[in-house]
Amino acid sequence: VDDGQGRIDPEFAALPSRDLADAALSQARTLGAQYADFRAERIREQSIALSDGNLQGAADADDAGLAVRVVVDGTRGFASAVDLDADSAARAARQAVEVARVGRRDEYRADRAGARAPVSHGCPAALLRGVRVLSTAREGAA
Amino acid sequence: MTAPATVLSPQETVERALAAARSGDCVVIAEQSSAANLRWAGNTLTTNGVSGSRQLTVIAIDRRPDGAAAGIVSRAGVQLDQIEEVVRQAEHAAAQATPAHDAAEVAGPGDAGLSVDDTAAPGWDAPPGRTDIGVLRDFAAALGQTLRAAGAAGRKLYGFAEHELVSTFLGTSAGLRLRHDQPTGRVELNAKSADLTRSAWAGAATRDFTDVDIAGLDAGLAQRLGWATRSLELPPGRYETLLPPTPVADLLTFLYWAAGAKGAADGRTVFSKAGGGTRVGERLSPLPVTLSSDPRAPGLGCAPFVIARAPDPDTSVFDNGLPLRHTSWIKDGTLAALMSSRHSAALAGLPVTHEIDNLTFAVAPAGDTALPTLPEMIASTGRALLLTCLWYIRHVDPQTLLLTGLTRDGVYLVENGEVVGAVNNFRFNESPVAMLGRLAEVGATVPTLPRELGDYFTRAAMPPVRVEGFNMSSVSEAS
Repeated sequence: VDDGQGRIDPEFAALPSRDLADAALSQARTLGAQYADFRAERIREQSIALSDGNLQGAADADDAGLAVRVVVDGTRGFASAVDLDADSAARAARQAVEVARVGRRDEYRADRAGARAPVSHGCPAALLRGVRVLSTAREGAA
Repeated sequence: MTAPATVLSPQETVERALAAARSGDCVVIAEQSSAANLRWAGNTLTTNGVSGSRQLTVIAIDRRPDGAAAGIVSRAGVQLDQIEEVVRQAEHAAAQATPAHDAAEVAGPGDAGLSVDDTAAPGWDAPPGRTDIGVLRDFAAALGQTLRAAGAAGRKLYGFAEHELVSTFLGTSAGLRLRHDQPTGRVELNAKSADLTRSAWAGAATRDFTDVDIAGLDAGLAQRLGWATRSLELPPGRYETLLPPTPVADLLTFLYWAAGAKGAADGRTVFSKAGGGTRVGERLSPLPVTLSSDPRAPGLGCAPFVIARAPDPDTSVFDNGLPLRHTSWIKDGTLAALMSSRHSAALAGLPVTHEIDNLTFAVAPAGDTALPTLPEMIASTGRALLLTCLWYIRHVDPQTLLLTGLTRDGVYLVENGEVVGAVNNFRFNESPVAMLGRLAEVGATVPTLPRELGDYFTRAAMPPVRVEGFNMSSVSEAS
């Protein structure tokens, strides 16, 4: 959200984004994810309809949420939530790891004879090296 | 998912917001949604996801001597201490707004008119509905088998399956309380030859994934990839064309969304009558076809009352909660109704027929003769194109509803009752309204999924059709 002058909306900037990211990413790491990322976003929208110069209607909308994406043994898991607090972020990370494990089972894999799933399902290979957990919030702040 | 202690249930949120309202009238819509999805590529399951959200919409109505003005504010993730803030923001917006052209009384319990059928749905006090990844469990097992079978046969499968459940709670300051739980699911499947030179698409809509036959969808795509082992070049031109239910759904959903009463009454759309008025009552097709919507259509059920979070020319936030009933937009080939709010219906001089979130197109069979399936229509064809998918559909001329777009993932040539090969892609220029006038045959209606519009509209039942002179205006290099 920016204020039209290139500055981030102070209400959004005041969110505890670093704490939310830490809660999500540390939870994902603890549960065995080899990769995790976190994002929080807020989208503000205003629609105004005019016809022949007359106002037909207007509406304001404010959407917000957080999302955690993980990779567990080559399968991605994703979870999002609407509450912007640390518990919600950690819960989303747990869900992302749980649902990634649903797809990790051999029965869904064409390459089931292989010892490891390939890492070429659209995931950047660099992100899958070792047990590395990235914080997009920290990177953004660096 | 456990909500924080500061989060109220949607029902309590509605009551708190209405209690906080100081404006003359108020409408509150609280929605709770959950969703789960699976994605796969190259015959391997790649991503699984879940999500959840809450949305609060407050429509404050400021009634004053010069009229009634509405202020509308929607916000996600509202907690207990934020409810009053959202109400005040809506009231502030209403105080700043000019009087609404569509102002009317808000609905109360006496206006709902909902039938006893609705007592079978979860009551107001029941917890919101919820979906999770478990709804896809049996589907995932079948998918695993299908992915392995496809791999063994040299096909690569790509696609996704998703399921969403939205519980909507609507309350008005006039005392109305309504609730609707909407499940929405779909699966999209793309099959490619091992060398990626041939491609075909299929999709299905579902409420709960118990009726999705993923192996059957793959079998249909395997047949199409087989047809494409022979490729043919054809020039642009007008062709007799067979359209399966999916492209029919895309074209007729464009028609449905263009069928607004206000635009027609203003003289701006294909449904405007020359010299003024609308074309309601005018014959559009020589065949006895019917285009209709019904909140209680089997397998296509949707909200039986108006849920309007924002206004548009044929949607009024003042109409929230009014009942929706079976509506024929086209009946026996004749334009019978246009989508409207109370306000736009009055402008157009038509009965009120609100938008409904599903669409069925069908033809009345002649006598006891069974309507043909698509394979039967192919078998009775001398020479025609079989056009399985449309893409990038855009408006060209609203006054004729001329649309343009591309063919994708499968155009085939049928000769003497058999598909003889795949044809190059085309750009098409067609009006679905004009197309109704050139229908040569309409088959049996079945549930389907519009491909282009599937992100927004999934509840459709359509037949395969045969159209005379479908306009392929140029050859497309898109693949």
